This record gives sequence, structure tokens and C-alpha cells, in this order.
Amino acid sequence: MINIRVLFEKKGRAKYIGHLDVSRLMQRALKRAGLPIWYTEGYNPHMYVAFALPLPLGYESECEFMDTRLTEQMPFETVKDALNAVLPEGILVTQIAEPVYKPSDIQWAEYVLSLYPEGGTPQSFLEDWRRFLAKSSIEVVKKTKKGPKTIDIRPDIHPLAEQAGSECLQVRLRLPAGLSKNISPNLVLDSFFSSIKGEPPFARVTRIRLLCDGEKEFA
Amino acid sequence: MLQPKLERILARVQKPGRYTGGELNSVMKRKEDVSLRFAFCFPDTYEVGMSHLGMKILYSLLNEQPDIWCERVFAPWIDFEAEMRKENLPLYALESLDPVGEFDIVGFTLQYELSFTNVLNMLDLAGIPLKSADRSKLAPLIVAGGPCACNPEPLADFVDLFMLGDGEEVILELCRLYQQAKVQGWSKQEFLEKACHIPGVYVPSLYDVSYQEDGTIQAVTPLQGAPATVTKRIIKDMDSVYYPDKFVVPYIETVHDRAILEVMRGCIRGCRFCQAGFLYRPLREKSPHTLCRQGKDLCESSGYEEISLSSLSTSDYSGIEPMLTEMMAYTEQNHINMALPSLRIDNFNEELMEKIKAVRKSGLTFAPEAGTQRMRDVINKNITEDEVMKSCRIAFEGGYAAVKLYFMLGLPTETMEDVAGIIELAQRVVDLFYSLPDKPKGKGVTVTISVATFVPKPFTPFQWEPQDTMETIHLKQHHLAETIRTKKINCNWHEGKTSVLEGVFARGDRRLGAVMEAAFRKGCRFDSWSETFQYDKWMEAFEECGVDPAFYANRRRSYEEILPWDHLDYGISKAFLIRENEKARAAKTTPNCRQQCSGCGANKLKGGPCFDD
Ligand code: SF4
Repeated sequence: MINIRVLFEKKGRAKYIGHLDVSRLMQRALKRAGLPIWYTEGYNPHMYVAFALPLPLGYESECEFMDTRLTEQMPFETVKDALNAVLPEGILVTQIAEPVYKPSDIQWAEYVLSLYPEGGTPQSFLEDWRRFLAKSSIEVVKKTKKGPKTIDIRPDIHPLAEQAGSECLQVRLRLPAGLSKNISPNLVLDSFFSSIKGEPPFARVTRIRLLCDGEKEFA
Repeated sequence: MLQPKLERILARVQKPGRYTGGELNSVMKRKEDVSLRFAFCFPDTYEVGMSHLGMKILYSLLNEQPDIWCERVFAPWIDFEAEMRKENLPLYALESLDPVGEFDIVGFTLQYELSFTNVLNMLDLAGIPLKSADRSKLAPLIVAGGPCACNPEPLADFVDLFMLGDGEEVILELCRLYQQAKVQGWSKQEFLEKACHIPGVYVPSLYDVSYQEDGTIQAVTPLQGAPATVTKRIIKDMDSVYYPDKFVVPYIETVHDRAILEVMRGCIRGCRFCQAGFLYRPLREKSPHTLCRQGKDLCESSGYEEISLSSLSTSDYSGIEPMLTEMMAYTEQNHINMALPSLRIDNFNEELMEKIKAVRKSGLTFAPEAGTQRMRDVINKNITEDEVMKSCRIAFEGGYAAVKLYFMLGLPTETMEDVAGIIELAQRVVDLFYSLPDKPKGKGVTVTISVATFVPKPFTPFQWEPQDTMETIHLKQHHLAETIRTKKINCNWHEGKTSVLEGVFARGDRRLGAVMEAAFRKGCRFDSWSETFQYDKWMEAFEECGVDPAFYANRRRSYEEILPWDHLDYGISKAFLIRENEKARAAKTTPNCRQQCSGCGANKLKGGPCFDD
């Protein structure tokens, strides 16, 4: 039994595929690819596949991953090519790797947010964004298992870059991600949008990197 | 690429995956490379439409033609529709994302009467004038097929032509004629006058319908040399007919998302309430070998984890044993489930039970359809109570503690004793469970009974019968509830308002077009969905158009009356239907087609006897 980690992108139309649907899609792709996939023993054998950090519907990603198992050793390039040959538009395997870190080691995720103004300009947006970040605290209501809770997310937002282009404002930021603490870009966007006047802009979000403790790349 | 406008809308609606296309095995072509673009429309949600086998067959068949590109279109759910109307986004097809109004042929599949307003809504969202008479150009040509095309009269104002019966051959003939029309610059009228000579094609505008004083039909007169009757098409040889080796694999969860094998078309049973059992006659089977090859192809191209068998009565398929044996050798090796739906009680034997159990189904369903033997004889559901009990016993001894039984309410000649008989039968199933020494340990039994309202349909022996009024149905439902004596019996039914509408449209005529349009203008669509069904709006529409729904639903017709669908020929003769109606009234049964041919007439379509002895 060989553990492998499949790293893939989810872009374009594929961003509308929900988390559970990605799991089904990937299992079917593994089947179509004719790979020697390991099945659980017993009454109701099924493939072992594991995902973590569900990506919100409508987000793109360059750093999705799935852990699965093969019954025999195979060149990783072969596995990658076999999968890419059967995957639908928008899903592309970028790398097959041996898992190094556990999914629970993930601490941070980095995102690129592209904000398309409904009124105003990307430049004026940039000023709004800076004003937003200049606040000493940003309180949001977060749904938790114990009910809604008000938290200050400002300390968790780590802006990395920002650029006002001709069509949109792009910002790159790092947020806590993982099992112990997870801040969705939606929380940041919602509170930013409620801080500005007018219609909320259309936003594209791409998750670009996952990091473990000490800023080590997850994969 | 999705346009930014669409993306903005998608961010605001439920289940955006319904509207984005791009699924595995969806067919992309370049529009410059084809001479005919076909928009195949399913007038219900993506999840429902994507589960439908007929659409999959015709989609793939059309796309096999290098010069035709067929794309899929579904009815947008109300949230997306509201956004489309607000943002002026016209209805588009899921492959190219091009507006439906730009297509050559826009085809609808009519699976149930309650989807008719969705047809109108989809035309409207596409910016296509609703009425055939208001569309003077050849394109877009609006066509329709499917079981409800057997009485297409309520849609006669809107649809340019209907295809009757099996679609595989006629749809290509129609497309070829259309391509010729395009090259030679025919007008729409010229095209329709030629198309009506393709066997199986019905052009409603080429028939004049006149009415008598009492509202019944006086005559249906063909115009411009159109044939006096249009006969449905059938595929004679199911082994050589086209079947897709690929299904479009949806991303989002749909009603059925698995490999489907059509084991046969038609049914030998002749249950008198079942329209499909008559519409799809005669029986035509596929060979086990063909099925196994098709199942394997489908699984390999899709990665599906489940195969299901589809037909009106799969356990009547003569090759079931060799087929299951061969198929399960493949499925077991490849971790694929084999699902077996719609079994009939009388074929439910221990061996089949073992096979079913082997594939782990969580509960069992049977359809006795009626509670008393007399009532079952009336509807020709040839099952005895002993057989029901035997099947349940096998199920219980096999470890099941839940069964589901399907019944109908409002059947012709039904009395309150027959109604109570439904509960009494369920009670005897409960008693049976507790009487068994080998019953599953530590479990109580649950008998769920699901009671549908009977709606008389064209081309059945009950096509002349009055449908129970809603008040009568309510009384009967009340009686059902009163008769239940135990919590072990769960009884479900629908309120019955939708059945009224279904009944009206099933046996309706052209005068209903105005009602349908009025109801649509009042916002009626998705009539089969309880959250969107607006009974009051419908009743307003009937009122305003001066049409009485009871005339269509609750009136007994005489055998002599000209019925709105009499000029359409589905193979079954009227004489046979009259014989069957008489036998029903006398509670006499008719043997199934394998036991003895009853001379329904459908074998004329095959050009020989249905079964060689
Ligand atoms: S012709 Fe006879 S055998 Fe054939 S479908 Fe009709 S009744 Fe059945």
C-alpha cells in the first residue's frame, strides 16, 4: 500500500463544484484512469480518499490536495498523466507527491482577492481597502458550534501585496487556516464590503498556497 | 469561459453548478463546423433532467453526427430565473453558453403534463415568441417528443411539430430535412408541409379541429395533404439501435447519477392504469450480451460506481439471469454496485432475493397498486394477496424489517371497501411479520404505504373514465387515515390538487392552450414542485378563459366521442381498449403478452407476432 498526495488546481467552471462533489469527481477519475487504487477491506469496500480544508463554493485554487493509496508502486509522473487524461475542464493535477506533512499541520493559507468595483474605480477601492486595514480591530460574527460568536479578525489578517489594476483591485493576504483556527476570506470580504458605500463588488478569490508552522510549504 | 455577467449572477444563486456546464463527456464543437445546432431542452431542473435516459440517448446520438451539435438546456430554478430576468440574461445552452434563440431547432422532451408551463417559461426566457403562429421564420423551430406527445393538443399553439414514439430514427430524419430546408431556403410553412410526411411527425397546424355545441370534438381535418393519422415510430431491433457509450457526468448531485442500462422497451403486463405500458408496446428486449457490453463501456467512460437497469418491469426481462451473472462478474471485480429497481411481486423469488441482498439495498418496495383482489382485477394488476404475502415473508426472513407498498386511490369502480382494503392489506403484512419465527431480531416492522391519486390517461382502457373529484379523493384519504390502527403503518399521500391539473392536461384539447398561457403569465411554472405550485392562479386562469376543468377531468366520455388524440396512432386499436374497458368493469383480467396475445394491434408496428412460440 503506497500513500500518495495528489495536488491539483481547481479553476474556471470547476470552481462551482462543491467540496463533496469534488470528492466524488476525483474517485470517478481514479476509476477511469485505471490506476491500481487501494480499496478498504470488508463488507462494503470503498476507495480511501481524504481531503482537508474545504474550499468555499465559487473560489478557485492552485493548491488543492487529495490523499489516496495505491496497491503498487508507480512512477508519480505516470499517475499524474493518467489522471490529467481523464479529468474534466478546470481540474488539473500539478504534482503527485509522497505526503510529508499531515493535513493537521496546516496553519496558514494565502489568497488572492480580485475585487471588481460596481461603482468607483480600483484606485478608490484601494484607498477603501487601506482604510479598512488601518482599523485597530475588525469585529465579525462567526458561526461556531456553540452558536454565533463575535471575534476580532484584524490581528489574523496579514496583507502581503496590493495592486490597483485597470479593471480590479487585487490584494494578496495570508489568513489562519486549518483545524484549530480557520478564517475564511468570506469573513474578511463581508466586513470590508459593509465598511464601504454602495453595491458590494464582484469578487474572485483564489487560494494559492498552504503553509505549515514556520512558514514551511505544505507541499 | 463564463462571462463576467453570468459569474456575478452565479455568486448569488443556489447550486450554481446547475448552470455552468463543462461536465465530463459533455460535447464541445465549433459552431462553424456544424450546419445544424440543436438545443435539447428538459423542462425541469438540471438534477431531474440529467437523470433522464432518453435525453442522454438523443444527445449522444445527435452529437455522433459531425455536422450537428446538440446542447443541453434545463429549466432554471426560480432564483436563477429572477436574476436572468433582472439582468436581461437570455436562456442559454450549457455547452457553448450561447442563447437558445440562436439555435436551429429547439426540442423539448415532454415527460409529464405538469412540466408544460416550464416549456412556455423556457421559450419566454429565450426570447422566443410563445406561439407557433407568431414565429414566421424557419429558425428556431420548436419541436417536442416524449410520452406526453401522445396527446400534444394542449401544446398545439406553441410547438411547431411533435415526434411520436421512439426518437432515435425520426430525430435524424427531421434534422436532415431541416438541413436541406436551410440550404434551399424553404419557408417555415414549406418545411412543415414536407416534414409532416416523415412517419411519426405530427404538425398540429396542419390539422383543423372543430367542436360541437356540447364542447366535444366534431372533427379533426387534415390540411394541405397532411396524413389523416400519424403513427408513432418504433425501433424494431434494440440490439442494433444506437446507445451511448458515454454519459455526461454531472458534478452536482442529481436524482440518478449512475450508469443506466435500458434492458427493454415496452411491457407485457397490460396494467390498465399504466399509460407507459400501452404507449411503448410492443415489447422489445436487448440481448444480455449487448447489455453487458454497454454497461462496461459506460462505467469505463464515466467512472460510475453504480449500474441500474431501466425498463417498465425489469424482472420480466427474459434474459435477466444470464445478464446478471455476466454483469456481476464484471461489477464485482471493479467495485461497482448493481441496482435492481421496479421489481414485480410475482417475480420476486428467493434466487433474485439473494442477488438483491448481495448488493445491499436498505429496504424493499412492492406495488400491489390496490387493496382488494376485485380492485386489482379491475386494473389488471395480476397479483394475488398470497403472492404479496409470500414476497414480504421472503423479505422479512431475509432480514428486512421495512417494506414499502405503492397503491393508487381513485381507481375506476373503487368503493370505500376497496379504500379500506389498502390499510387492511398493510395490516396483514404487519401481522405476518410478528407471526414469523425467523423475523429479524430486535426490530419492529415498518410498513410504509404510498398512495398516489389515479389519473386516467390517453391510450389506456381508462381513457373514457371520469377522474375522481378532489372532494372525493379527500374523503377517501380521510377514510384511509381512519382505518389505520397501528403506528407500524406509515401512510403518505399527496393533496390531490396537482392531480386535477395533470388530469385536465392529460386528456385536454387545443382550447387549453389559452389557459396554459394565462396561467404562465400569472407566474405558474414548476407545477410539479409543491413549493412553486399555485393552484389558485390556475383556477383563475381557467375562470378567465371560460374553460371548465371538470369537462376534461371528471366527465365520462362515450366510446363514440372523438377524443383529442384519436388521429394519433400508437399501435393499440380502439377496439382493444374498449374490450379492456369492458373487462375492467366486469373485474375480469387479461393474461400478459407472453401467456397469450390479446390482439392489441401493436404488433403491426413490428410487422409480425410479438413472441414466436
Ligand atoms: S400484439 Fe399481442 S403480444 Fe403484442 S403487445 Fe399487443 S397484446 Fe401484447
